[in-house]
Amino acid sequence: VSQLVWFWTAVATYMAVACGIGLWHYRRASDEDGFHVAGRSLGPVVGGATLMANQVSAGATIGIVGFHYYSGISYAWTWPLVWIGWVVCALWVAPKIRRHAGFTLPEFFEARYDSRAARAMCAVFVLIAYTVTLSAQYQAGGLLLALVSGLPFASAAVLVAAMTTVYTFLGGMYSNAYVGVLKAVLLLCAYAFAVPFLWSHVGGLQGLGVALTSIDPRLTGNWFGWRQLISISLALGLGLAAAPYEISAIYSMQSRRAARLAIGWSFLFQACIGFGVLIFGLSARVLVPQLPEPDLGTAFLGTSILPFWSGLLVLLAAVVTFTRTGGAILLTVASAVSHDLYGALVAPGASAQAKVRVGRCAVVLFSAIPVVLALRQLALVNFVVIYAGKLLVSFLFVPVVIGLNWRRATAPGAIAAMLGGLSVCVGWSLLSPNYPLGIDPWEIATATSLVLFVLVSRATTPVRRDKLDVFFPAGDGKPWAGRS
Amino acid sequence: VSYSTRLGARHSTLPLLVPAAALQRAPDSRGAVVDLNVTFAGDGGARVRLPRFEPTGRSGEWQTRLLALPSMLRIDLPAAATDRCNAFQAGPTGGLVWRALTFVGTMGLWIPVYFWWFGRQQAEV
Repeated sequence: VSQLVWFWTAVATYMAVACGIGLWHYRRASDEDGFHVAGRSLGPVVGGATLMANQVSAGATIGIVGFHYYSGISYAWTWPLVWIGWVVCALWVAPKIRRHAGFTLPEFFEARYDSRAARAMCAVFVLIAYTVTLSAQYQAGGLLLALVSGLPFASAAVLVAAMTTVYTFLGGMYSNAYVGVLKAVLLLCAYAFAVPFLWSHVGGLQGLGVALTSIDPRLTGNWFGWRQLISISLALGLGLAAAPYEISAIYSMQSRRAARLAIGWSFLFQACIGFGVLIFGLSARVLVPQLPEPDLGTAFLGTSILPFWSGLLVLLAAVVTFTRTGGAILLTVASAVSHDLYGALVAPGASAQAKVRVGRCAVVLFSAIPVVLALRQLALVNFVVIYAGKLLVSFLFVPVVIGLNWRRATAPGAIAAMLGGLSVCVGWSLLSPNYPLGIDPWEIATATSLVLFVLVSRATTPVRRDKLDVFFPAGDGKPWAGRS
Repeated sequence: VSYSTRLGARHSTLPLLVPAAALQRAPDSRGAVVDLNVTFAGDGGARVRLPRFEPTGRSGEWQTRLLALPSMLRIDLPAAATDRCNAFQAGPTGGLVWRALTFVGTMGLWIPVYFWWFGRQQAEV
């Protein structure tokens, strides 16, 4: 009972702080610059924490801990492999995106391809993919709250959705950016206290190795083969390079230099968290080899293994993780609805205040839809996150990354790439688990998307040269040259 | 299942029998109901360090309720003469040590390489 009281007190305090940040910035967030891109005020460290906070979702603190519990060490290699996607972002995406200085990814589509249809399609597809991603956050949060509080899973998942909605509704990107810093600090502190404790009690790497080998030798070896690891990592990494919420975060930074430095800072944060998550998952398996669900690893460590205050910190960090990432996703969805569908197509003359109001309504509406998916608990949390990543990369990677760097790309090419990529990914997924020739859905979907993109672009009229100046300025040999 | 043991070190590990599969879930619960009770013959400040136990209020008695069975109890016996017993079995690690160190080293290398590249780009500008 004591821990329960402290837990809810800590969660209430966190919510008050998050809402306080939102209200503090309410005046600035009442215009679009404030609500969507934090007034483009984020420096490298806050920006790095924001990028990390977007990536390190409940899929990591609960889902990847569950994956390590279930499959051992091999999945850890996805961290450095996913960073390949960040390097792609730093080299070929972030500088041009930041130079454009828009608000949302669908807006970029209109600017790059001179096409409202491409913008609308991108917005709708983002809504679909992020509904899946958000459901994973709710599922993870629901599992944690259900275990800690004794609430039924359904009530806990609804509570997670409500908590996520509140601060996103109040603060927009300002709240999200600064709660991202809070999340980074909480996560780092939680792992800094908990990992040494676990390390000492399981006997360090040597003790973990002996115990895990005796449970199942595959846990210390290659549960996942390199082919699988590379495929999963590239799906997630290349998806991140074009992910709408990461693009929104890049739009929020002070300059192109700040955007690139922020990626470096996010590596540092992610490395610490990746190691912590690994030790959590492996230690949980050694200490409690037969949990009813692998995804309960973090919650079990927090409630029953770690010392009281350390456990409380871990639980609070997990709560911050899924609400914050859920917030980033909701904000992206709200932007797609208010800025790209309502503001650009439904009511082109709408005032900024009207669009912010529509955005806040969208936060409430699209927060509710993924609850239905979460309640069904379709798979382990991290499997859901991986599938959402595959959906994203299959329709976004080619038109964003190749489109930013290939002048000849056209709107019909982008539309064909998005349609072809998403439909092939969904269709190929229906063949699960025995994919023909072992080809993963995202691989064939992205290849299809690329082929359609090139063929259709070649066969259609190029975009007007003056429309492309912002993305392909004369003499632009060094995309990082200069400051925005 | 009950265990009666004599522990001789200040920091001791008591391995527990673990079933080969997860225990059956209790109704309306995320897992099973596992009650663990520990009674120390002489108090002397002895306590269960891991998992988290609560004292019952009776001298030397500790208890907890979990949703799965832990593989070990870690126990502190301040009055014991020796510091610690050899808590962990010797045996093959399955390559976990070098794999984990390679993983940490790879991530540790990424960060300075990225910032070095960043610095080079800035210098060129």
